[in-house]
Amino acid sequence: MEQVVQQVINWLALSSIYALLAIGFSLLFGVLNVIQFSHGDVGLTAPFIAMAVLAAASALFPGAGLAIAILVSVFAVGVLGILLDRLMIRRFRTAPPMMALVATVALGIVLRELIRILYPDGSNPHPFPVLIEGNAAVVGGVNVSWLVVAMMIATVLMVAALSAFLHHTALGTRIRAVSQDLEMARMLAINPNRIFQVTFFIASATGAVAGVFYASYVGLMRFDLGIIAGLLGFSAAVIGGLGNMTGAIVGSLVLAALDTLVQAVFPDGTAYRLVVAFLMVLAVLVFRPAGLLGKSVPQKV
Amino acid sequence: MSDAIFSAREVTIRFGGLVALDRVDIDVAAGEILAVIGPNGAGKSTLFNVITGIYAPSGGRVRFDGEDITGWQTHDIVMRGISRTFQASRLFSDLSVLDNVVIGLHTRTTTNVFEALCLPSRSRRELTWAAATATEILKRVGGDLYDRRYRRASELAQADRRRLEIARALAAKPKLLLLDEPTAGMDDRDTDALIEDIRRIKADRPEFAIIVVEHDMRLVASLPSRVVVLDYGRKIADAPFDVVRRDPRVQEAYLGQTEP
Repeated sequence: MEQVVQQVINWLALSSIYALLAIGFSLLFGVLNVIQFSHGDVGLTAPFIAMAVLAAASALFPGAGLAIAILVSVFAVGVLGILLDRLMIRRFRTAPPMMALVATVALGIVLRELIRILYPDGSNPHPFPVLIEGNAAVVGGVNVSWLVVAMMIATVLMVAALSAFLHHTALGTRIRAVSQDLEMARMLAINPNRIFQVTFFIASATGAVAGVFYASYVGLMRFDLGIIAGLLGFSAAVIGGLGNMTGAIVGSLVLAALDTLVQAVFPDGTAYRLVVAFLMVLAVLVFRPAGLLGKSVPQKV
Repeated sequence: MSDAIFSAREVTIRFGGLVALDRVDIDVAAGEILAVIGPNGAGKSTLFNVITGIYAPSGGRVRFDGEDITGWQTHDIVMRGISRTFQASRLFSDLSVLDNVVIGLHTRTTTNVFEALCLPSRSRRELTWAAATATEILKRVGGDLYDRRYRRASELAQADRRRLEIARALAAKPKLLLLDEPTAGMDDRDTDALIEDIRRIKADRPEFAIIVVEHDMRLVASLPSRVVVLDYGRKIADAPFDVVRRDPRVQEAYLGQTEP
């Protein structure tokens, strides 16, 4: 029983992280028609930025240093997303998909290596603090930490806010319009560059929250965590159906369930978690290329 | 023409070696309806793409409402007062009928991204205004649009889709409306209804100008005050329909083929 409860908690925690990354991939793909392969790396710069400003934040705001440092890092990563779009990714929107793919993969490598060089002792892992200490409850004899509770609540709130934003604000409606038909959106006086900026800010900041959660959940940050986080988030988006918000969340739940199951059920399963996770991705691509909830993605990719 | 709200002078477009538009002059006065006709590939859609800034002309100037808009970005041109519909349906099919019109109202709202984040009450007020205005527009345009305003645009019948596209273009309160083959794919009854719709819109706002690219001769004969004929990128006629119809060059290039 305790085993089961513990695994359910792990599942939900992982789902939160994957979902926050996956909705960013989906949003960016939907609006720009570009798969932003460095999205994971962008998001995972957040813990480094947070640690870099922590000392200053603690001095300025005693007691709330960590919270402020994280807010700063999330905002900074959102701005980083806008910059990357402006400098590079936007140029590949109309280019052949292969070019965008190579370019964003290369961008991810550049980001990882920059962290390694610029952050003191950047090649080695660094500890990352638990965001909220202590346990929220005991369920079936298992301690449920505040961190996991906070991750789940934050994810639900962010997904709900994003959905409300996309469906019930003028700006959100414009974003959906650009994602459906860019040329027509321009004919309605929508400046697509503004929409790209907003989309990149939202997606990158969401990825930053995922990055901070990820680092806090595993207790450490490392320059190359972005690649695996990005691949898992992207896979979750593909499983659910790229470009589809609900799909991104469903995909995250499925992928995290598989991930958790493999680790829990098979002896030494941890070693195989990625093998199984990506076999799942392959299976979806072979049998349901549009994803579990997708409608018509293949002609876009 | 001195009172022209729109004028194109010597507009030329080259795609590699192909000359899609060859020194074309077009004037439209405020309140006028101008038809542009010509065989397939004559440069009609290219002309619309130049006017709306999708293509920058290789030569020539485009003036609109007292300003030289040559080479402007599409969204700036639309902001200035030119709206357009496309030949193929370009509705946002996943958005509701109402939201399709709300988007068209974008030119008339002022809240930008940061104001929307910092002053949510103001952006909410604007959204309420947009929804109410869009509802009014749908009521006036007619068809089943008003009753189906919360449905997805993809569920509409062909004639209503075309109506909705026109409603969306009108939402921006343009001074010049470009209609690209509005009757394409319509039967006679729908075409008659569309001609009536356009007449009603004109009656509401007599000052605004329309350029319509069209193949349907009934529409061309009944609506416009003037007809421009393009052939291989050149303007070969510019006169009232009755005159154009009797022009031997036009008959050879166009009418002779479709109305023997």
